[in-house]
Amino acid sequence: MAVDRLERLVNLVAALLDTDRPLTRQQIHDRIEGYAEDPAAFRRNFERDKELLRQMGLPLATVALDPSHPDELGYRIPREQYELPDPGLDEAELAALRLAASAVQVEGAWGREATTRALRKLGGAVAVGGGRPGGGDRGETGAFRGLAELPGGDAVAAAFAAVGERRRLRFVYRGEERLVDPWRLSLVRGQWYLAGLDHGRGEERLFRLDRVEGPVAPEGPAGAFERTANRAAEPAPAWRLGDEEEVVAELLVDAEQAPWALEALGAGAVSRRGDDGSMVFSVPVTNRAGFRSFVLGFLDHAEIVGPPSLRADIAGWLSALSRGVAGDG
Amino acid sequence: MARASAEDRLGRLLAIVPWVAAHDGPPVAEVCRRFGVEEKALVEDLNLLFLCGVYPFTPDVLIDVDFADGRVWIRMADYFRRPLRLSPQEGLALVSAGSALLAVPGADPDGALATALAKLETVLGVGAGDSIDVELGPAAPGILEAVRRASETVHKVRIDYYSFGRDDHTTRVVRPWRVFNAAGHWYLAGWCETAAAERLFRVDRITRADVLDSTFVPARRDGPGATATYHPAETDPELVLDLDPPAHWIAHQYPNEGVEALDGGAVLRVRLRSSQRAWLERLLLRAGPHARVVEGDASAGRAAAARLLARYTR
Repeated sequence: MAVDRLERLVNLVAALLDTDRPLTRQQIHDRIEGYAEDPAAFRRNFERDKELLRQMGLPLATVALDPSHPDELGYRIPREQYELPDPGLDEAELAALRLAASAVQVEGAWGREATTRALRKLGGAVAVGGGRPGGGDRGETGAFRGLAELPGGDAVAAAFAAVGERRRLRFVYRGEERLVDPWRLSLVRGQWYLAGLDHGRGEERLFRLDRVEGPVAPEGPAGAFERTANRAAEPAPAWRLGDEEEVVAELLVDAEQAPWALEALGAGAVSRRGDDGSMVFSVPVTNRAGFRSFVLGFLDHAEIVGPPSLRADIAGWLSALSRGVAGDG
Repeated sequence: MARASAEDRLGRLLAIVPWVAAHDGPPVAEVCRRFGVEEKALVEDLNLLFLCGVYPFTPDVLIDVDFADGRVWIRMADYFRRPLRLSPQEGLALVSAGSALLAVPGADPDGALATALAKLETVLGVGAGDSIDVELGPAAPGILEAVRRASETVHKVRIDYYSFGRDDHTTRVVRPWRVFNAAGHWYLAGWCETAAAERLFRVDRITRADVLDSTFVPARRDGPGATATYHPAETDPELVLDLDPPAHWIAHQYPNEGVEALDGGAVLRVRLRSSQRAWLERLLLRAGPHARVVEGDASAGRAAAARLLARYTR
């Protein structure tokens, strides 16, 4: 009798979850209905099934049963790695998550599908109006739909899992291979950043995940480190990305654009407020080119008022440009 | 009719079985609604479970499925007592969506979403809200609230807007089709009556917003999408620049008509179009001597540099 592949898969997962001892290929062939009699055909079927289970994220463990026969493998699914611990969500909370999933979309190939599958595993999502009265759900109004789009990607997903498991990550960044204890993920200005201990540098670093070259690979066991106390996980602005000798710039911004400068530099940077609404900011700079670029973005609305060395720097830049001189800047 | 793949059906079953088993005979209709599956497909998949179990497949180790009075019971499936844990993608997608909605000004920091996220983050190991942080970008709460309210209630809104490309302020009346967040910014998409055209506005560049009494007929389409950025017109003047390595970022960050690598990649030749003076000035001022104008008006950058230089030489 032809056995539905789904039936074969359900039986396979049940057998692998139910056993404490790894099952051999032979045991699987003998016990699970629906595999071909022919050993070569069975092998192909089983390879396909294994591939599908791994793709679905089932933790299929492969164990060598006998050190003298390394080809003789056993298979099982460890329950503790398979099972989702119960977060204890009530219906109102489940409805709130469903609303979030419909309002906010993670970009990328798997974004929309992933939230649907996640909600299903958490006990499904109650249809709108099916929640308990007073559940706090405003309902799925048109206004919420498509409220925000967030970047996604495999590097971010890998980093997310590693932060949760406290597992080290290996990846290439700015041409260097890094081994990192991933501490925190933050989405700032539309980009995902990973903060963590960079073992090669021996200190905390911030990595922009869309700039990682190649895969982000977990390495070693879970629980490999403790996260340290939080530092503000703000990516450094361009004028701090450098190791030039620090100089404190005094930047005057007119009333019209002072609010944007305030947003970028923070209230702590304000050193003077003019009667006309203009502001002067004190900005520590370790990358003069980055600061110059920031200031020039304000066009006529901003001026570096000190120190003289920074005024000379930007004046030299503007002077070369005004004369049409090509040079090394 | 297209059938769901074995993978989809298995994924669904592995979620449905533990839930049904943990509830005492839930209505079939509720299971369908909750898991987004049609009754026919659900019954078909659950009927197949009758034949499943573990070795030696004697009746006492087969899964027991009962349908009666529109309800369903599943027993003898202890190995499926819990659903499969979330994949990294699933965890990230749900936690970041929840964190983002919670970061919208006006969200209840102690509501059901906040407690749901805290519980979810705990089981995913990213607990206590300190390992995942989502910021949606600047917007004055009053202004964001006003344009969202206008959009939801289909009222026109009058805005004072700073145009970054032109470096000037205008007051416009806009039919707000949609307010959304993308790439770290809040946007208002709609029909600008002043310009008589579709426009996308950055909410953080709106300095004042007044919801008007007049309403409008919502457009069928949502207007410029999240991926919309500045699109030059065919008639805009073209500019061709040769960029040295320190200015290569321009080729990657500015919308352009084409990039060509010269000198084995040391120089990038980029073609841009723009009629927006301030936009062009910023670009040329920032690139400085690392950009050479090959075609087009070379005077814009020189003139802007001379104008700004005057402030440093007086």
